[in-house]
Amino acid sequence: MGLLFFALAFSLKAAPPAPGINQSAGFWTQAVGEGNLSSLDESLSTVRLWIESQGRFNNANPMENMNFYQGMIRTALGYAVTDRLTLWAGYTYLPTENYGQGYVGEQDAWPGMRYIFPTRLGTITLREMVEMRFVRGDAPGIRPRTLIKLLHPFEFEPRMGLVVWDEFFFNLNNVTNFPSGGGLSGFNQNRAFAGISWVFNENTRLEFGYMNLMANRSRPELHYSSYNSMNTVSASVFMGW
Amino acid sequence: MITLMLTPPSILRIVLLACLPCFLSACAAVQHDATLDKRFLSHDLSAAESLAQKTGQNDLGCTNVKTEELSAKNVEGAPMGPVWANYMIRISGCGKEKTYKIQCQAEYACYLPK
Repeated sequence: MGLLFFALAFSLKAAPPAPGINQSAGFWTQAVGEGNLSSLDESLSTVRLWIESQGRFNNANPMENMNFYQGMIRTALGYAVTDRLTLWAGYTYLPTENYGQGYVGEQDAWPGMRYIFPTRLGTITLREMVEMRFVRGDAPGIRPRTLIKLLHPFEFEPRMGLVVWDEFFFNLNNVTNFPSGGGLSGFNQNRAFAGISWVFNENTRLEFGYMNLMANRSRPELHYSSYNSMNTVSASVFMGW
Repeated sequence: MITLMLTPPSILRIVLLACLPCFLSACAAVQHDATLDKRFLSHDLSAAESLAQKTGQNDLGCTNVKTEELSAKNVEGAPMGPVWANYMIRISGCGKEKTYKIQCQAEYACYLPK
Protein backbone atom coordinates (compact mmCIF):
# COMPACT_ATOMS: atom_id res chain seq x y z
CA MET A 1 0.00 0.00 0.00
CA GLY A 2 2.87 2.30 0.95
CA LEU A 3 4.69 1.43 -2.26
CA LEU A 4 1.54 2.12 -4.22
CA PHE A 5 1.20 5.50 -2.54
CA PHE A 6 4.78 6.46 -3.35
CA ALA A 7 4.42 5.23 -6.91
CA LEU A 8 1.29 7.33 -7.27
CA ALA A 9 2.98 10.33 -5.69
CA PHE A 10 5.98 9.98 -7.97
CA SER A 11 3.83 9.64 -11.05
CA LEU A 12 1.86 12.75 -10.09
CA LYS A 13 5.07 14.70 -9.63
CA ALA A 14 6.40 13.56 -12.95
CA ALA A 15 3.20 14.06 -14.88
CA PRO A 16 3.08 17.26 -16.89
CA PRO A 17 -0.08 19.33 -16.61
CA ALA A 18 -2.81 18.32 -19.02
CA PRO A 19 -3.49 20.57 -21.99
CA GLY A 20 -6.43 22.95 -22.00
CA ILE A 21 -8.31 24.17 -18.95
CA ASN A 22 -8.44 21.80 -16.00
CA GLN A 23 -10.96 22.23 -13.21
CA SER A 24 -10.45 21.95 -9.48
CA ALA A 25 -12.13 23.13 -6.30
CA GLY A 26 -10.86 24.75 -3.13
CA PHE A 27 -11.47 26.70 0.03
CA TRP A 28 -9.43 29.76 1.01
CA THR A 29 -9.38 31.48 4.35
CA GLN A 30 -7.81 34.83 5.10
CA ALA A 31 -7.29 37.08 8.11
CA VAL A 32 -5.99 40.61 7.61
CA GLY A 33 -5.11 43.16 10.27
CA GLU A 34 -4.06 46.71 9.59
CA GLY A 35 -3.68 49.99 11.35
CA ASN A 36 -1.37 52.84 12.10
CA LEU A 37 1.26 52.92 14.83
CA SER A 38 0.02 56.02 16.63
CA SER A 39 -0.53 53.96 19.76
CA LEU A 40 3.26 53.62 20.02
CA ASP A 41 3.97 57.24 19.26
CA GLU A 42 1.73 60.01 17.92
CA SER A 43 4.35 60.90 15.32
CA LEU A 44 3.86 57.44 13.78
CA SER A 45 0.25 58.09 12.80
CA THR A 46 1.15 57.95 9.09
CA VAL A 47 3.09 54.70 9.47
CA ARG A 48 0.96 51.63 8.93
CA LEU A 49 1.41 47.95 9.66
CA TRP A 50 -0.23 45.21 7.62
CA ILE A 51 -0.27 41.62 8.86
CA GLU A 52 -2.04 38.81 7.09
CA SER A 53 -2.32 35.06 7.07
CA GLN A 54 -4.07 32.65 4.75
CA GLY A 55 -4.85 28.96 4.63
CA ARG A 56 -5.60 27.36 1.27
CA PHE A 57 -7.21 23.99 0.67
CA ASN A 58 -7.97 22.06 -2.52
CA ASN A 59 -9.44 18.77 -3.61
CA ALA A 60 -6.26 17.35 -5.12
CA ASN A 61 -5.96 14.56 -2.57
CA PRO A 62 -8.53 11.85 -3.40
CA MET A 63 -8.36 10.58 0.19
CA GLU A 64 -9.45 13.87 1.77
CA ASN A 65 -12.32 16.19 1.06
CA MET A 66 -10.15 19.25 1.41
CA ASN A 67 -6.39 19.06 1.44
CA PHE A 68 -4.32 21.86 2.98
CA TYR A 69 -1.81 22.72 0.28
CA GLN A 70 -0.66 26.26 0.94
CA GLY A 71 -0.27 28.74 3.73
CA MET A 72 0.63 32.38 3.53
CA ILE A 73 2.02 34.97 5.88
CA ARG A 74 2.36 38.54 4.74
CA THR A 75 3.61 41.56 6.57
CA ALA A 76 4.29 45.07 5.37
CA LEU A 77 5.09 48.53 6.57
CA GLY A 78 3.27 51.38 4.94
CA TYR A 79 3.40 55.11 4.72
CA ALA A 80 0.13 56.98 4.32
CA VAL A 81 1.05 59.66 1.81
CA THR A 82 -2.47 61.00 1.99
CA ASP A 83 -5.75 59.92 3.49
CA ARG A 84 -6.33 57.68 0.52
CA LEU A 85 -2.92 56.70 -0.75
CA THR A 86 -0.59 54.33 1.08
CA LEU A 87 2.80 53.07 -0.07
CA TRP A 88 3.96 49.69 1.13
CA ALA A 89 7.09 47.61 1.41
CA GLY A 90 6.40 44.04 2.35
CA TYR A 91 7.38 40.42 2.63
CA THR A 92 5.38 37.27 1.92
CA TYR A 93 6.12 33.70 2.83
CA LEU A 94 4.21 30.96 1.03
CA PRO A 95 4.85 27.39 2.15
CA THR A 96 3.33 25.04 -0.42
CA GLU A 97 2.94 21.30 -0.65
CA ASN A 98 0.72 20.29 -3.51
CA TYR A 99 -0.57 16.75 -3.30
CA GLY A 100 1.98 14.35 -4.72
CA GLN A 101 4.68 17.00 -4.99
CA GLY A 102 7.48 18.15 -2.75
CA TYR A 103 7.51 21.05 -0.34
CA VAL A 104 8.35 24.50 -1.69
CA GLY A 105 8.79 27.64 0.37
CA GLU A 106 8.35 30.78 -1.68
CA GLN A 107 9.52 34.11 -0.33
CA ASP A 108 8.50 37.38 -1.91
CA ALA A 109 9.68 40.92 -1.36
CA TRP A 110 7.54 43.63 -2.83
CA PRO A 111 6.81 47.30 -3.04
CA GLY A 112 3.16 48.22 -3.31
CA MET A 113 0.64 50.99 -3.32
CA ARG A 114 -3.01 51.26 -2.44
CA TYR A 115 -5.50 53.92 -3.29
CA ILE A 116 -8.95 54.01 -1.69
CA PHE A 117 -11.70 56.30 -2.74
CA PRO A 118 -15.30 56.52 -1.69
CA THR A 119 -17.88 56.93 -4.42
CA ARG A 120 -21.64 57.15 -4.37
CA LEU A 121 -21.68 53.53 -5.49
CA GLY A 122 -19.47 52.35 -2.65
CA THR A 123 -15.79 52.17 -1.77
CA ILE A 124 -13.33 51.42 -4.55
CA THR A 125 -9.86 50.12 -3.70
CA LEU A 126 -6.98 49.90 -6.14
CA ARG A 127 -3.86 47.99 -5.19
CA GLU A 128 -0.67 47.39 -7.08
CA MET A 129 2.13 45.14 -5.88
CA VAL A 130 5.31 44.13 -7.69
CA GLU A 131 6.42 40.83 -6.24
CA MET A 132 9.98 39.62 -6.49
CA ARG A 133 9.41 35.91 -6.00
CA PHE A 134 12.23 33.75 -4.74
CA VAL A 135 11.42 30.06 -5.10
CA ARG A 136 14.56 28.17 -6.03
CA GLY A 137 17.86 29.70 -6.96
CA ASP A 138 18.80 33.35 -6.94
CA ALA A 139 16.84 34.55 -9.94
CA PRO A 140 13.53 35.98 -8.82
CA GLY A 141 10.35 35.87 -10.79
CA ILE A 142 9.06 39.39 -11.13
CA ARG A 143 5.31 39.58 -11.02
CA PRO A 144 3.18 42.71 -10.85
CA ARG A 145 -0.35 42.15 -9.59
CA THR A 146 -3.18 44.63 -9.90
CA LEU A 147 -6.33 44.53 -7.83
CA ILE A 148 -9.51 46.53 -8.19
CA LYS A 149 -12.26 46.08 -5.62
CA LEU A 150 -15.71 47.50 -5.10
CA LEU A 151 -17.64 47.25 -1.87
CA HIS A 152 -21.23 48.35 -2.37
CA PRO A 153 -23.34 48.55 0.80
CA PHE A 154 -27.00 47.58 0.51
CA GLU A 155 -29.57 50.23 1.26
CA PHE A 156 -31.92 47.81 3.03
CA GLU A 157 -29.13 46.63 5.41
CA PRO A 158 -26.09 48.92 5.38
CA ARG A 159 -24.00 46.48 7.38
CA MET A 160 -24.27 44.06 4.48
CA GLY A 161 -22.72 44.74 1.11
CA LEU A 162 -21.88 43.34 -2.27
CA VAL A 163 -18.16 42.77 -2.82
CA VAL A 164 -16.63 42.25 -6.25
CA TRP A 165 -12.96 42.30 -7.06
CA ASP A 166 -10.53 41.14 -9.65
CA GLU A 167 -6.78 40.70 -9.37
CA PHE A 168 -4.60 40.16 -12.40
CA PHE A 169 -1.07 38.68 -12.16
CA PHE A 170 1.48 39.09 -14.90
CA ASN A 171 4.96 37.54 -15.05
CA LEU A 172 7.59 39.88 -16.39
CA ASN A 173 10.17 37.18 -16.89
CA ASN A 174 10.54 33.47 -17.48
CA VAL A 175 11.31 31.51 -14.34
CA THR A 176 11.66 27.86 -15.19
CA ASN A 177 12.37 26.51 -11.72
CA PHE A 178 8.87 26.97 -10.31
CA PRO A 179 7.99 23.36 -9.45
CA SER A 180 4.29 23.63 -10.23
CA GLY A 181 4.74 25.58 -13.43
CA GLY A 182 3.33 29.02 -13.95
CA GLY A 183 6.74 30.60 -14.41
CA LEU A 184 6.36 31.69 -18.02
CA SER A 185 6.44 35.36 -18.81
CA GLY A 186 3.07 36.85 -19.64
CA PHE A 187 -0.28 35.99 -18.10
CA ASN A 188 0.21 34.20 -14.77
CA GLN A 189 -3.19 34.12 -13.14
CA ASN A 190 -6.43 35.96 -12.54
CA ARG A 191 -8.57 35.92 -9.42
CA ALA A 192 -12.17 37.05 -9.66
CA PHE A 193 -14.36 37.28 -6.58
CA ALA A 194 -18.02 37.99 -5.96
CA GLY A 195 -19.58 37.79 -2.53
CA ILE A 196 -21.18 39.40 0.45
CA SER A 197 -19.64 41.43 3.23
CA TRP A 198 -20.91 41.86 6.75
CA VAL A 199 -19.73 44.67 8.99
CA PHE A 200 -19.67 43.65 12.66
CA ASN A 201 -18.40 47.06 13.64
CA GLU A 202 -16.26 49.68 11.97
CA ASN A 203 -13.13 47.69 12.78
CA THR A 204 -14.24 44.19 11.84
CA ARG A 205 -15.66 42.94 8.57
CA LEU A 206 -16.29 39.50 7.09
CA GLU A 207 -16.31 38.76 3.37
CA PHE A 208 -17.63 35.48 2.08
CA GLY A 209 -18.15 34.36 -1.48
CA TYR A 210 -16.99 32.64 -4.60
CA MET A 211 -13.60 33.11 -6.17
CA ASN A 212 -12.37 31.76 -9.47
CA LEU A 213 -8.64 31.39 -9.85
CA MET A 214 -7.52 30.92 -13.43
CA ALA A 215 -3.83 30.03 -13.39
CA ASN A 216 -1.44 29.49 -16.24
CA ARG A 217 0.36 26.19 -15.69
CA SER A 218 2.13 26.12 -19.07
CA ARG A 219 5.81 25.18 -19.13
CA PRO A 220 8.47 26.05 -21.65
CA GLU A 221 9.19 22.40 -22.44
CA LEU A 222 5.57 21.68 -23.31
CA HIS A 223 4.23 22.43 -26.75
CA TYR A 224 0.76 23.23 -25.51
CA SER A 225 -0.90 25.59 -23.05
CA SER A 226 -2.26 24.39 -19.74
CA TYR A 227 -4.49 26.27 -17.35
CA ASN A 228 -6.13 25.44 -14.08
CA SER A 229 -9.47 26.93 -13.18
CA MET A 230 -9.99 26.60 -9.44
CA ASN A 231 -13.46 27.27 -8.10
CA THR A 232 -13.14 28.26 -4.48
CA VAL A 233 -15.24 29.29 -1.56
CA SER A 234 -13.44 32.17 0.09
CA ALA A 235 -13.85 33.56 3.60
CA SER A 236 -11.94 36.61 4.84
CA VAL A 237 -11.87 38.56 8.05
CA PHE A 238 -10.55 42.13 8.01
CA MET A 239 -9.62 43.88 11.22
CA GLY A 240 -8.44 47.42 11.78
CA TRP A 241 -7.05 49.18 14.79
CA MET B 1 3.05 43.87 -26.65
CA ILE B 2 3.78 40.32 -27.78
CA THR B 3 7.49 41.10 -27.78
CA LEU B 4 7.17 42.47 -24.27
CA MET B 5 5.57 39.25 -23.09
CA LEU B 6 7.96 36.82 -24.70
CA THR B 7 11.40 38.31 -24.32
CA PRO B 8 13.32 38.31 -21.04
CA PRO B 9 12.96 41.64 -19.28
CA SER B 10 15.72 44.16 -19.42
CA ILE B 11 17.03 45.61 -16.18
CA LEU B 12 15.58 48.94 -17.27
CA ARG B 13 12.10 47.46 -17.64
CA ILE B 14 12.30 45.81 -14.21
CA VAL B 15 13.47 49.02 -12.61
CA LEU B 16 10.75 51.00 -14.37
CA LEU B 17 8.10 48.61 -13.20
CA ALA B 18 9.40 48.47 -9.65
CA CYS B 19 9.32 52.25 -9.59
CA LEU B 20 5.78 52.46 -10.92
CA PRO B 21 4.13 52.66 -7.48
CA CYS B 22 6.46 55.49 -6.44
CA PHE B 23 5.82 57.31 -9.69
CA LEU B 24 2.07 57.01 -9.37
CA SER B 25 2.12 58.09 -5.77
CA ALA B 26 4.29 61.07 -6.64
CA CYS B 27 1.72 62.09 -9.24
CA ALA B 28 -1.05 61.70 -6.70
CA ALA B 29 0.90 63.64 -4.10
CA VAL B 30 1.44 66.50 -6.52
CA GLN B 31 -2.28 66.64 -7.20
CA HIS B 32 -3.10 66.31 -3.56
CA ASP B 33 -4.73 69.16 -1.76
CA ALA B 34 -6.89 69.42 1.28
CA THR B 35 -10.21 69.41 -0.56
CA LEU B 36 -9.27 66.54 -2.84
CA ASP B 37 -8.27 64.32 -0.01
CA LYS B 38 -11.28 64.66 2.24
CA ARG B 39 -12.83 61.28 2.55
CA PHE B 40 -16.28 62.79 2.79
CA LEU B 41 -17.93 62.81 -0.56
CA SER B 42 -19.94 65.95 -0.06
CA HIS B 43 -20.70 65.83 3.64
CA ASP B 44 -24.25 64.94 2.74
CA LEU B 45 -26.05 64.50 6.00
CA SER B 46 -29.48 63.65 4.66
CA ALA B 47 -29.33 59.88 5.11
CA ALA B 48 -27.73 60.15 8.58
CA GLU B 49 -30.22 62.81 9.66
CA SER B 50 -33.14 60.87 8.38
CA LEU B 51 -32.08 57.76 10.35
CA ALA B 52 -31.42 59.78 13.51
CA GLN B 53 -34.74 61.56 13.13
CA LYS B 54 -36.70 58.37 12.68
CA THR B 55 -34.97 56.74 15.65
CA GLY B 56 -35.37 59.86 17.78
CA GLN B 57 -39.08 60.14 17.01
CA ASN B 58 -39.48 56.57 18.16
CA ASP B 59 -37.33 56.89 21.28
CA LEU B 60 -38.72 60.26 22.38
CA GLY B 61 -42.29 59.45 21.44
CA CYS B 62 -42.50 62.75 19.64
CA THR B 63 -43.17 63.41 15.96
CA ASN B 64 -42.13 67.05 15.87
CA VAL B 65 -38.38 66.87 16.44
CA LYS B 66 -35.36 69.00 15.57
CA THR B 67 -32.08 67.60 14.35
CA GLU B 68 -28.69 69.12 15.05
CA GLU B 69 -25.31 67.93 13.80
CA LEU B 70 -22.79 67.97 16.64
CA SER B 71 -19.80 66.51 14.84
CA ALA B 72 -18.70 64.72 11.70
CA LYS B 73 -15.49 62.87 11.14
CA ASN B 74 -13.95 60.06 9.16
CA VAL B 75 -12.77 57.00 11.00
CA GLU B 76 -10.39 54.37 9.70
CA GLY B 77 -12.03 51.02 9.78
CA ALA B 78 -11.11 47.52 8.73
CA PRO B 79 -8.70 47.44 5.77
CA MET B 80 -9.75 47.14 2.13
CA GLY B 81 -13.24 48.20 3.08
CA PRO B 82 -15.62 51.08 3.43
CA VAL B 83 -14.69 54.61 4.30
CA TRP B 84 -16.74 55.57 7.33
CA ALA B 85 -18.28 58.94 8.00
CA ASN B 86 -19.31 59.10 11.64
CA TYR B 87 -21.85 61.69 12.75
CA MET B 88 -23.07 62.70 16.17
CA ILE B 89 -26.61 64.01 15.80
CA ARG B 90 -28.82 65.42 18.53
CA ILE B 91 -32.57 64.96 18.29
CA SER B 92 -34.77 67.14 20.46
CA GLY B 93 -38.51 67.58 20.79
CA CYS B 94 -41.40 67.58 23.28
CA GLY B 95 -38.98 68.75 26.00
CA LYS B 96 -36.62 65.82 25.58
CA GLU B 97 -33.45 65.19 23.67
CA LYS B 98 -31.16 62.34 22.74
CA THR B 99 -27.84 62.10 20.91
CA TYR B 100 -27.05 59.41 18.35
CA LYS B 101 -23.89 58.20 16.73
CA ILE B 102 -24.62 57.39 13.10
CA GLN B 103 -22.14 55.62 10.81
CA CYS B 104 -22.39 56.05 7.08
CA GLN B 105 -20.61 54.80 4.02
CA ALA B 106 -21.25 55.84 0.43
CA GLU B 107 -23.52 58.53 1.91
CA TYR B 108 -26.73 56.56 1.70
CA ALA B 109 -25.83 53.54 3.80
CA CYS B 110 -26.16 54.59 7.43
CA TYR B 111 -26.77 52.59 10.58
CA LEU B 112 -26.72 52.96 14.33
CA PRO B 113 -23.79 51.02 15.75
CA LYS B 114 -24.70 48.96 18.77
